[in-house]
Amino acid sequence: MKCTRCRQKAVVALPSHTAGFCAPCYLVYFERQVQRAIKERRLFKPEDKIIIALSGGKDSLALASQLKSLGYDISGLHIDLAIPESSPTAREHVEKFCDSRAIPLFVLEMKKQGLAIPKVKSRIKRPVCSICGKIKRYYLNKLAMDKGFTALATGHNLDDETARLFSNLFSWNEAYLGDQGPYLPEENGFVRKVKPLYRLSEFETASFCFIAKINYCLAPCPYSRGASFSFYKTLLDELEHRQPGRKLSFYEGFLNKGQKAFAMLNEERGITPSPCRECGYPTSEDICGVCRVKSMLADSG
Amino acid sequence: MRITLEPENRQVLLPKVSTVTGLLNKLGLKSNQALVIRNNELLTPDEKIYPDDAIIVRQVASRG
Ligand code: SF4
Ligand SMILES: [Zn+2]
Ligand SMILES: [Zn+2]
Repeated sequence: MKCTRCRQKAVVALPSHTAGFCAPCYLVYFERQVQRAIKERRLFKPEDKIIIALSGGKDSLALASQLKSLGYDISGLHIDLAIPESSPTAREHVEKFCDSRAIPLFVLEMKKQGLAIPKVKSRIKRPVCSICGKIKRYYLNKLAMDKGFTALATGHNLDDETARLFSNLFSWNEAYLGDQGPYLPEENGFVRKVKPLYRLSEFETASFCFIAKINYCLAPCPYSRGASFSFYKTLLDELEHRQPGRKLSFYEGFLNKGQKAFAMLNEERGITPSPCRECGYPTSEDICGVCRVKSMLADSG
Repeated sequence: MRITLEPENRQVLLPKVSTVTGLLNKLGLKSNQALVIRNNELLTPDEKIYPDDAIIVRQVASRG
C-alpha cells in the first residue's frame, strides 16, 4: 500500500478515509484532524488556559503531545487512584511524559482525600466504576476551577464517543443525549469541557503514539471488566469493518442533526444544579455524590 | 512465526499465514483493533509476513 499524500510505502491504512499514510504524513493527517475538531466545534482559542486530564493511557498522552506541538497553553492533571496494580505505573508514565516535554503537571492523590479506590470498592455495593468516574470528574473540575483554567480537555476518542452515544440511544437516555458532544460550555460551576480527539479512533491514537514514540501505560485497571461500553465497542467495530467511515458519520450526524433537540428538552425540563452543602460543588441534590461517599467511608471507619 | 500479544504479553505460535490480514483473522481481530508491528515498524493489512518474522500484535482497546 502506498501513502495517499507522497506515494511512499504506507504504514497506516485508514479505510474510513479511503487513505493510507507513511509515518511523517500520518502525523500531518493526525494534526489536521485535531485542528479540524478544534475549529469546527469551536473548542478553544490560542488564549485559553487548558488543563488536560492525563491518565497515562494512549489517548490522553497523544492529546497532550498534539496540543503542545500546536502551541497551546497546556498543563496536565493526573489523578492517582491508589490502585496497587495500575496506579503507580500509570503515574510514572505521566510524570516521565510531562518531564520530557516540559508540560506543567498537577497530581492529585485520592489516598490523601480518603478516597483510595480499593477502599471505596470494599465499602460499596454498586460497581466501583460509577463512583470512581464520579470522583475523577469531581476533582478534575475542582482543580480546573480553583486554578483558573478556562477549559478541561480529555482524551475521549471516536470509539469512546460512538459507544456512549449508541448506548444512550439504545436506552433513550434523553438527559445524557442532550449533554453529549465534544464541547460542553462553562456553566453553573462547571468548567468548559472539550474532547479534541473525537474525530480519531482508538486505532488512530495508538498508531500516533507508536509513530511519535510516546510511551504509554498498558497496565489495565484490575476493576475494568465490562467498563467503557466494551460490548457496544465490539458491535460498532463490526459495523465499521463492513462500512468504513460509519462511526464518524454516525457521530457527526448526531452532533449536526440530533443533539440540539435533546439539549432543548433538557433545558425545558432542566434542573439547574446548586452548590453542595458540604463542599460547594455543583449538584442536583443537597449533598454531592463525592461528599456522600466520603461521609459513608468515615461512618464505616 | 513468533507472535507476541499485547497488552497481555502472551506468546503464541501460529501455523502458516502469509499476510497481516490472515494473521488478524486467525486471532479473531479486525484491522482497526490492533497495531501489527515487525522490526519496530507498523504493518498495513496487505503486508506479506514470513515464517521467520517476530511480530507484535498490540490490541488498541483502552480498558479503564
Ligand atoms: S476501570 Fe473503573 S475503577 Fe478502574 S479506573 Fe476506570 S473507572 Fe476507575
Ligand atoms: Zn507520505
Ligand atoms: Zn460536596
